[in-house]
Amino acid sequence: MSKSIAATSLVLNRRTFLAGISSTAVLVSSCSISNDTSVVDTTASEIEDIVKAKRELISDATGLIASDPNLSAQLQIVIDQSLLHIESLTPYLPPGSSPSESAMVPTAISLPAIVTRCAVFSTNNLNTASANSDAELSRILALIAGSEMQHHALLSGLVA
Amino acid sequence: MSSLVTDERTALEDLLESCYSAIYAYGVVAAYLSDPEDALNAMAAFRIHRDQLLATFDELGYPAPAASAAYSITPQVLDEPNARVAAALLEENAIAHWANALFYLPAQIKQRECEFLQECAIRSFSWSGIAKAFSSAS
Repeated sequence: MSKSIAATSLVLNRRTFLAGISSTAVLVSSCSISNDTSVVDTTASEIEDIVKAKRELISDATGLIASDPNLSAQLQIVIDQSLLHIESLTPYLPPGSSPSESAMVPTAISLPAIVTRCAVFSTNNLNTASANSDAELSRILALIAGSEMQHHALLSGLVA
Repeated sequence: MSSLVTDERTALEDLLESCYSAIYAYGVVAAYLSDPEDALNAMAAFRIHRDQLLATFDELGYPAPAASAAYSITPQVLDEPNARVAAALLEENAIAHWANALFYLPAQIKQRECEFLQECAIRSFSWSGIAKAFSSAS
């Protein structure tokens, strides 16, 4: 009788153990799914910030053209190509997102400031591309960074 | 060439091949320019970068591919204007290759390769005066 109880007890312990293993596996796989989602969320958030910054640049460049039409030829290239950059990043935005430039206190827009921003965007986008876990998005960001460096060179010629 | 990049090793091989090709092309381009200084400086930049990549091959224990005897240049260089176009295109080509490879490169050289991509972008613009939304490999 006591042997039977001991055997039953052993079976229960094994079941408990196996159940424990099973739930640990579920827990680990849940954590894995959670981490992947987090990476996607972080990437989407980064892309959202990039698009927002580009919209601000477009807005500032448009404002600068209004105040100095002599700059329109070069700035329009930057505006047009920035719109193409945004279009290429749109599939990577969070669902339902339509980032617009943040409401900032209007300040005087200067050409040197836009020139600097183009170079900063290029470096930032290359950093994002380097850390990204999606090969195609990394490639797109790196190509955009190359274009932004060309914008920097294009507009630098107007400042000198 | 870019479509063959699938991992760290093929990415490094692709960049090294791009350096070999650019060094060769700048030799031809320089010969057709009345003032070859910029082309020679660009060639020197690619040579330095080639050596850095060769050092990376050594560090990682990969056999480095050897340079070919000759590379095709687009467009065919027969005069100074074509030489300038070829220089701009080879830099555009480099931007596309570096952008394609970046994802696969070892973390310790990514910063260096990002800076080189930016240098290619500046040189491309200085040769052509044209900024492009997206560079493509020729």
